[in-house]
Amino acid sequence: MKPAVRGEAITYRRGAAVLLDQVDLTTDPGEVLGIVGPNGAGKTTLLRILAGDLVPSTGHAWVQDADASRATLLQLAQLRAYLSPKGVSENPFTVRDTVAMGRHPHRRAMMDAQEHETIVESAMERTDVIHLASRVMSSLSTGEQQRVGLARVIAQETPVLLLDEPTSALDIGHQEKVMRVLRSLAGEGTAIIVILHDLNLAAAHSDRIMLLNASAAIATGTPSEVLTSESLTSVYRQPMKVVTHPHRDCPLVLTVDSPDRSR
Amino acid sequence: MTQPATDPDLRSRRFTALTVLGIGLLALMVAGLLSGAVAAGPTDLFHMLARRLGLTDDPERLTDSVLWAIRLPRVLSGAVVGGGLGVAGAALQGTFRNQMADPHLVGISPAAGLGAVAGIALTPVGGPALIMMVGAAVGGAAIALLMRRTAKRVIESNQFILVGLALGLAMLAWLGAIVLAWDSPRVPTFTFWVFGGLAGSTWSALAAGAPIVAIGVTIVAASARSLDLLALGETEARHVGVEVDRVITVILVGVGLAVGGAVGLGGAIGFVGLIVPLVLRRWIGPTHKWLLPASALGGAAMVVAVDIMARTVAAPIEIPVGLFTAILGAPVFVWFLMRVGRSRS
Repeated sequence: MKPAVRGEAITYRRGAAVLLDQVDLTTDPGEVLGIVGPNGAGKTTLLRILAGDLVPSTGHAWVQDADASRATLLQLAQLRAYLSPKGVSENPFTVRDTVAMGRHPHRRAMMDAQEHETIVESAMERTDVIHLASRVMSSLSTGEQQRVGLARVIAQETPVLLLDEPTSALDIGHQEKVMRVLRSLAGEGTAIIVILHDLNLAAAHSDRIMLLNASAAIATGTPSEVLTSESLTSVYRQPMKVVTHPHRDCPLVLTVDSPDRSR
Repeated sequence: MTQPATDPDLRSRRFTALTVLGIGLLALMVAGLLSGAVAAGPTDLFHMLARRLGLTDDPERLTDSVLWAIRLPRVLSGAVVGGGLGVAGAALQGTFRNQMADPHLVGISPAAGLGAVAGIALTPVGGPALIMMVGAAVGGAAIALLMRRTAKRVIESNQFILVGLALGLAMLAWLGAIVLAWDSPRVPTFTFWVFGGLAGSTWSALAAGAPIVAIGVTIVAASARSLDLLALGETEARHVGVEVDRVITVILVGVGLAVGGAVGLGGAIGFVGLIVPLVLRRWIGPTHKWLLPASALGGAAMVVAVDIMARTVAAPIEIPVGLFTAILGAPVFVWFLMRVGRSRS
């Protein structure tokens, strides 16, 4: 199968600082790739390179057949949607209008207004914001705005979704709900790359996980391959214990006290 | 084009707003034609129009020349100035996602004034008004693009407004220094460049200024959909395929032309571009396809109305239009910001 996203030896420098060092990555259609790692590891930089926002110093990024740093904005908008962790709070448009803006790349598609509308409605239903449809964006809470943002990128109907902490402002119920939505999108063939800070969320809902630390990919593989007590303890500089989730077939990450304090 | 299901209430409000503003503008223009030192009634207006159209051989009345040569260009100039400022204000607020963006506040009007004075300096004595208008448009567009570069380096959009305010005040000072030092009858007084005025309106100035405003407004109107998408944020707009840098440059050139033409015709008139889009956005929503034409009509109606006050309240003394827009506009603006603040807390 042809990968939906491919990154080859991506290096990104800004001045003397190396923000990403020789990172390789592939994501297949229908796959959820979780990206985890401490603050400043280079997660967002990597995602923005895949999105075509940043041009890698060396190496290449492709979304399907399009070179992310060469394709036009419209081509990219039809191939990938991107959600950043913080939206614009001063948006005067309604939720429905905002989600409908995700349809912009397809405005010339052979599709009548009703079809666009149906896609917008179903995206709002999926992220549980349909009851807010007529509300003005600036009147919503941060978490609600985040779910509207997710509805907008779903309405963009791209084969690739790039999501930077889509659950950062959500309560635990909506976190799980959003991850289930991502799983069902993957079931429909969408390739999803998602940055997550919550390791257990990543462990439970990702097919594969990439662990970034200090600008480099430390490990990529299934959650149980990547999330180990040793790797996490060293990367996060925090004693960690990984056990098996009692009810789910995935690792469960626990923070523990340092040995010298747990006497 | 994607037509999101609009609630019927909003659709009827848009229709009502455009109708009310359109009829209101026409009524105010007629009122503007009929008010002034020389008494003129509707019959005099019809007489003038009939003579102009060659429909009557009646002898010329005094009111004919007053209406045709003085009041009609003045009322039309007021409408063009107000329309240009209304559209420019709506476009600036949309581009910078800031309700305080206003052609006057961010320094575009003083820059257009400087450009206009430069244009006058380049015009041979008795030459056409067009060079001055073009100068104003170039000045307006140049400062708008400079603001854009500044805004990119400033993180907080409120700081960007402050930068515009500072640059605007500095340019106003330069403008004042030049106008006062030059002291030529060819240059409008400093009052004109600070508070505007439509007393000097002529057909020839209108013929030079109105097309410039019209071109600017057309450029902005063509970007209505992109202005909507910019509400997502610049990065997000780029992610849905908007060529953000190009679009914003085009919009700001349009704004510069609209404001430049308006300043060339009526001097610097504040608060029109600020409060008209602000009020209308609350009434008919932020979609620019509707907000831009409504702001054009609303701005035109406001300037025509205020100009009637400016020349009748203390007649025969003329009070600069911009004094009235500031006296009326500033409290409305503050009240509005307070309402917005309350609805959010």
